[in-house]
Amino acid sequence: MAAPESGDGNNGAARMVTLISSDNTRFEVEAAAASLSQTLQLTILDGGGGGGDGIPLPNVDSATLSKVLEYCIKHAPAAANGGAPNATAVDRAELERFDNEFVNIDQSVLYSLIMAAHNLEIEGLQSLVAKKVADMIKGKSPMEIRRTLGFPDPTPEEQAEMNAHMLEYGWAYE
Amino acid sequence: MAHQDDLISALPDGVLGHALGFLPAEQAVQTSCLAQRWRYLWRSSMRRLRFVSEGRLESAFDFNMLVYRVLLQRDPILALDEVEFTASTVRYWHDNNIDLDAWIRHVLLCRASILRLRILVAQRFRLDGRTAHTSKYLKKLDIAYVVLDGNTCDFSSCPALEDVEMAHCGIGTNRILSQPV
Repeated sequence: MAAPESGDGNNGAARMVTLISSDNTRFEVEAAAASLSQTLQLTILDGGGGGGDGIPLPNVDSATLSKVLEYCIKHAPAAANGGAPNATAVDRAELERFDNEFVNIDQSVLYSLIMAAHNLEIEGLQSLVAKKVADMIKGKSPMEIRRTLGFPDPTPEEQAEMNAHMLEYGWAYE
Repeated sequence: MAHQDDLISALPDGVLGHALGFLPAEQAVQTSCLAQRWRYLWRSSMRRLRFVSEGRLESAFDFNMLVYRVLLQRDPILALDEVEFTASTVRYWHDNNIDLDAWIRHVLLCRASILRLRILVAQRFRLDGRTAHTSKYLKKLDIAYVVLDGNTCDFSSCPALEDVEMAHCGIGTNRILSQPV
């Protein structure tokens, strides 16, 4: 159900909740969007986060939380439709475009997002960021993966160990 | 000692295992040589297995070996979530059958809840178990391009199964059993 942005003659605005990042920034967001987080859902159902209270999120900084909420706000309408079985192809294509653009970010931002999605248990976002990591690995040799993921250059010792493991798992490289 | 300077290695095992689950199984296995931290991740933290032969593995023998190696070397205590068998190569499958029935039994033992079968192989492929597949955990079955043959294709002993999708299946069996879905 799409709720009106604000009560313009309709019977009331959507319920809002306040989330507080680790650096004490307050974010006001529709309860439906915040409820994509399994972690927050029960608190919100219990009536938490409203009024002046706010739900503190000590593990999530404001830059990450704002990114997380951007995702939740975009995906909340489809989630409210029960995974949107009657969504049009255009809607789905738009969400897909949004998702692709959304994870086109620096690795450090991506990893913060991964931890936030994990802690807040936002299933769709967890899969989206996990797929992004898989895409960074896909089709690359071990050395290319190490470079892509920002591993330091291997010491001779590590290089020897890598070679030994590549031999042991030779069947996976055939 | 492994370096810990790279940010990604600081992520929890479960998170990295989740990411590995989106790779074809053999590539997930390859990550074990990246660094100490990654040595056993695929065995102990990956709950989704994708066996995908898209032109690379051309014989049934190779495909069988890959599946057996991965299934036998992963930690069987770790419950599986989703398992996909996709074999889309049509050439060179005459040397052997793939052992799909045995794999299904094994992944169901490992508590897989979603099973996807995409077997685009022209011939010599059969899902021909003589006895019922049994699982408390299987919720979703998604089958395409599979010849269902033999006496029975029996998923009636999977009480949690709530979603069955079938497309382009040749049905040679006289009974396909599941509980009412």
